[in-house]
Amino acid sequence: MPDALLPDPEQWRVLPPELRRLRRTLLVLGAVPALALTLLISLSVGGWPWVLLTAAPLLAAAAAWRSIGVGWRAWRYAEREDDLLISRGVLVRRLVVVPYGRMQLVDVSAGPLARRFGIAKVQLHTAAAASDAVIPGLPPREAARLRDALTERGEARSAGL
Amino acid sequence: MTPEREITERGAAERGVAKRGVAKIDGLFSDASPAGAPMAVPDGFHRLHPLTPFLRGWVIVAAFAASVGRNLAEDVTARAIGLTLIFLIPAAGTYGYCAWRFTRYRIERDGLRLDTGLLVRRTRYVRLDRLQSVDIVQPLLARMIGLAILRLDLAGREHRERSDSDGGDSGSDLRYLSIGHAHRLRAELLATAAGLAPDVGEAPFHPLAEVLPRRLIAAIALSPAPWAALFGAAAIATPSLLTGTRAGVLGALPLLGWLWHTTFRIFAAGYPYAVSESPDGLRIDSGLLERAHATVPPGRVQAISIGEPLLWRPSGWVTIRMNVAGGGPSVLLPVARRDEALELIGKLLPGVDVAAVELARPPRRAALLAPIHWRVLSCGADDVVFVARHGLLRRYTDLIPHGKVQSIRLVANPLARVLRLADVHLDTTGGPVRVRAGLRDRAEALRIVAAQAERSRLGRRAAVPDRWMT
Repeated sequence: MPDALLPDPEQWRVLPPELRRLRRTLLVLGAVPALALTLLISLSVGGWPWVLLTAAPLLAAAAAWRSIGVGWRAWRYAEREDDLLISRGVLVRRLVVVPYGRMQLVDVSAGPLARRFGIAKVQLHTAAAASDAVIPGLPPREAARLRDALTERGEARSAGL
Repeated sequence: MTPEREITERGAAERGVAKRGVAKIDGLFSDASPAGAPMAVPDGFHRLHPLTPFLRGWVIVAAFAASVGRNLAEDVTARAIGLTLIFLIPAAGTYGYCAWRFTRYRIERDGLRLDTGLLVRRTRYVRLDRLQSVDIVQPLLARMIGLAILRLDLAGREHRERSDSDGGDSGSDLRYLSIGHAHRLRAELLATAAGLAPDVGEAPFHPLAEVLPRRLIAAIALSPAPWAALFGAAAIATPSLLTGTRAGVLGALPLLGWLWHTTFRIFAAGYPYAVSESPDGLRIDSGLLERAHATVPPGRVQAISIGEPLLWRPSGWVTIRMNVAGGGPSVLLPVARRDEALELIGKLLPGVDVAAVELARPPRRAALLAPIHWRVLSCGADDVVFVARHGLLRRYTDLIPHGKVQSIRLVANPLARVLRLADVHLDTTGGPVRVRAGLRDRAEALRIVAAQAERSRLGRRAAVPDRWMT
């Protein structure tokens, strides 16, 4: 959407599909036991008509599956000359502009599961707590490149508070 | 020669005059080593004032007594209290003495080194080029015996503040110093931070604004909270007074406490109150019982908000609050006439005339989301600041210099998206002021974000250097 900010839409970078796979794996891991439990309870409580109750967790899981895909597609970032743009959100659309000169530190973190899927999270901190600039998943190589690029540009453009 | 440079040099020259004055005072004191002077330890380290253990130890006695008293509320006898005190007072005294004995500080080339801790030694290095404000605070008890706390606020302190549970205060406080020494140390730290020699003495200052006591009293009387407390207390207490029971009177006590809080406490914090300007930045001296002297170096004010409560508007009074990074002072002026306030802001942020900034309202359809107050919402920008206005009963005009914007966010919730509206937030450091341009047309909001990114980039280049005298 931001034409005034980014003249060339090609500059937007998307997140790797591994992030979507990780989130969907987590969803399946949570949804399967929930489904089994509902099935078990409905069968033990009543007869066959009660099995229809399982439709509820099934529908919820399907909706979550879809929203993971939509949310993943909506999360994009772009490096401009002097600032980093992050655009995200499906229901609530957000766009964050973080100037390199205002970055205080860049965090790259990856939990055990995330490492297995080969992704790392990059978080940018400014002096404002509200800044909220996160890229939830990048391939480790890209995350390291981004971190180095951001810190380098941050040093070059750094300004006192 | 630019005007700024001229001011700087004049400031330095005036400091030269002040330096001689301070040198004379030091000469007077140096041979006698008075009680007010810091105790010198080898290597140029200094200790805090020797009365510190008594003031800090007292806090421990009170805390212990409160918790012990709560646990033993059933069978508290004079003997139990006596026994507790016999063990407690020496323990508190020893702790206080040791804490004092193992706390020392030293001014180094570009920072203040502070060593604390009895069991866990901790060395804290306060970089003076990151200094956001220097405050001298005198709580009532300390003020009575002539002591003060010197507080150094640094950028980013608010993130770590809570994790420092060392006696409940943040690690860069020097508590307690004698008041004279606190003033001298502040002058020394500010001079070092400014990039001058540490012994140039206190910078000259001239007053900008002060609070008139009559106006402050009238302003308190025109705010709703004291009246709510008063009528609430009366409503609770009257029936029981008429029937002669005591329970209702006790029920009114919290409200009376609130009344005291919203009247006298505010008065004592807001009078006397003097804002002045010096080469070391903004100075605020305030407080009737508890004195506070804050110094905010030039270019450290992050955002300013002018508040106009409904009842104050006929008299044209406003209150000004501000954000200073690292938990510095948050009130700039408790009450002032609007023109005085604008003049003060013009002095603080040179080249800013808030009244002259053109503010634009959101589109008409914003009235669907904010039926009454959409007319109040407006925003605009000039070369130096971004201005946003919001609030119906309490109208706020928020200002943020372009160079101080930490990040720019555009947020559009589902309802706003249906109407093609969006909010633009300009994030700044923690504090009472949050700048937000509400319910703009989406295309316009994007234009605001793009324009602000560019303005902020230019604004950062024109920033005051960290060492403001260099």
